[in-house]
Amino acid sequence: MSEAFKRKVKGTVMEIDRHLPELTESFEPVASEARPGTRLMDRLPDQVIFDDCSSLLEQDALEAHERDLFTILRNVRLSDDTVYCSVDASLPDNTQHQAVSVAILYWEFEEFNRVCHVAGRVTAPDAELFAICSAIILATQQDNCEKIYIFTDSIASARRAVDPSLHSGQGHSLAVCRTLAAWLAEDSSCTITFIQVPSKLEWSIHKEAHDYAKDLISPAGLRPDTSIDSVWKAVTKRSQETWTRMFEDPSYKGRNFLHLERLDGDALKPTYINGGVWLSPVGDNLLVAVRLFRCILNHAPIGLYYK
Amino acid sequence: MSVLAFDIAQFFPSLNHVMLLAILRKQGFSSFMGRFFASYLVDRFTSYLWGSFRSGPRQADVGVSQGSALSPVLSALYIAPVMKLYHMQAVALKTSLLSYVDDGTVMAQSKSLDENRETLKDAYALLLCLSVAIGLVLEHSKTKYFIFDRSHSDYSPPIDLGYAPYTGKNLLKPNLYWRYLGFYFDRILLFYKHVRYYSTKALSLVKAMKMLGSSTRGLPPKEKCLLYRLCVLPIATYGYRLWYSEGAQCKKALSLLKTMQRKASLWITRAFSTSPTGGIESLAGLIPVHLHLQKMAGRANFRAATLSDTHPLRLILGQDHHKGTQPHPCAI
Repeated sequence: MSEAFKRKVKGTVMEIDRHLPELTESFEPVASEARPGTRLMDRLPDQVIFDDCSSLLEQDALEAHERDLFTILRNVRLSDDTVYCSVDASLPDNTQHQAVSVAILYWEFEEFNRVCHVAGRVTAPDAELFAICSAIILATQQDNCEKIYIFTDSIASARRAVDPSLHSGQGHSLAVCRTLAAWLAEDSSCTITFIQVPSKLEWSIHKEAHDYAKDLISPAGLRPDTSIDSVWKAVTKRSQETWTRMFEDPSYKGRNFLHLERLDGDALKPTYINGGVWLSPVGDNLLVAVRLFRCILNHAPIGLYYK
Repeated sequence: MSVLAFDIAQFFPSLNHVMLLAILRKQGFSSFMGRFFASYLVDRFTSYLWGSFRSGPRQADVGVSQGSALSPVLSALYIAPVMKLYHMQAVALKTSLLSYVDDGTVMAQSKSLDENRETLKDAYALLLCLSVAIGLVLEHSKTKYFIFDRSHSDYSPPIDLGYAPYTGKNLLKPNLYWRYLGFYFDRILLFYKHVRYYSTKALSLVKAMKMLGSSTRGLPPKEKCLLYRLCVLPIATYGYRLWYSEGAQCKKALSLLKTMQRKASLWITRAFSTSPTGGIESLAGLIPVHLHLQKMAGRANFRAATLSDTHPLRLILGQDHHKGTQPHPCAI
């Protein structure tokens, strides 16, 4: 089909063909590592450890967790068979730059390697996954290494790193699974531990990785790498922005629609996440919700009103 | 384009074991696999349980069992020689044969509907020969005939299949709509009937849901919103990729869905019935239907990247997406 003819033809297949090049990531839907029974977590579940602290919301619990982190750090510094890594990612707040993934590797008290990769136009978990992947590959290459500790602020990305099924950043996960499967199978005493460090703690070696990632500002270039999550996010954002623009038009929302603002002065914008802006605070109370909605709309047909 | 949809009578039970094992052997499966399937298929017994009563074993030695996980694979392998022989022998006919388990279709494409009719008649005769040879029976009375034509003429020549009941004076006339896998195809492929069917279905669901809550009692609005998004929207947008794409003419179809969503948002917010659509939609946290479809279609475009290298959809895309595999002859 010639290019001129392609432009004339409309339809779903043509749309897919036109948009698919925007995604640079490739996938392995039937990877042998992802077969049930041969997956890394099916074969060696005891050697991959996650230290989760997602329930830590209060200040006291956070301080206790920080003390635990220092204890772990002291222990790993004293042991002579442990590589410990601090990983982080930095996402730009504009579209002209791309994300950066950083991994810093330590042995005893010394830093022995640090890497910084540009990750493309991706989401935060993807960039974090890339950082974890590069840290694991470099750590397993170190001689006499029997234990790996990885300090990360996204434990979800750590779990994704050892999951070879189809998801955003599957290539990194497959690389991690292949490397770890070989490394863990060598010796049953080898373990890898993922430790969550909440970024608001700004903790010791994790802060160092965070600052290093912030230092590099990389322009996006003409065609940056994208992940499936990032292109999906862009599509969702586009629809959401169109809706917001539509909402600004009084002929769409109604001329008497009550203008409400947030505490910081921003006007309320419509969203469908968690039931929407208006529904989420009052959605559980039927009577209040119905009164509120009728007040906001300020609309009553005369006949119904007199009834 | 003209299409003949045919049905195989009693497909799963009528698969012949000896033939199936021979086909497996011919297709290059190891003798171990052959023995496994021989043991799996032949000399099967079933017994029925009703309360505490249990019947004695009865022989269930026909075909492959319906609902078994292996049945679709085995039936696809069984029907593969028919398709291969058809493609070898029907080169001159220029038709394409598609099959989804036991739902088969023969398609003929040409500039003239009369020419298509003759081609389809020959193709059907050939198909019947092949099916009989392999032990399958075509149910002629269930055969259907459709015409897809974008010209404004309504010329629809009936077809003489040559087999009862569609022979002699009783010719097979083309149907107006074709329901295939839950999609309603119409003559000019605008899919208005399809959207109308599913939006009406969703609308009646919304109307039925009214009994779950009024403005004073019943479900709170947040639950109603969740119910609508989970149970109604997927029905209303079923098969949207057929009719919704960039630049498609679907204003009429969208208006049906908008009406349906308006009713749902009125039910969620319990606002007065003449309230502005945009206002109640935003309050109920429902994105306008056309934006919802735009979002879903935009996301679905990229899902093609997660398909395997030999997936039929990937093979009909442009050459950048084939990854070294042989593209489909109709690839763009």
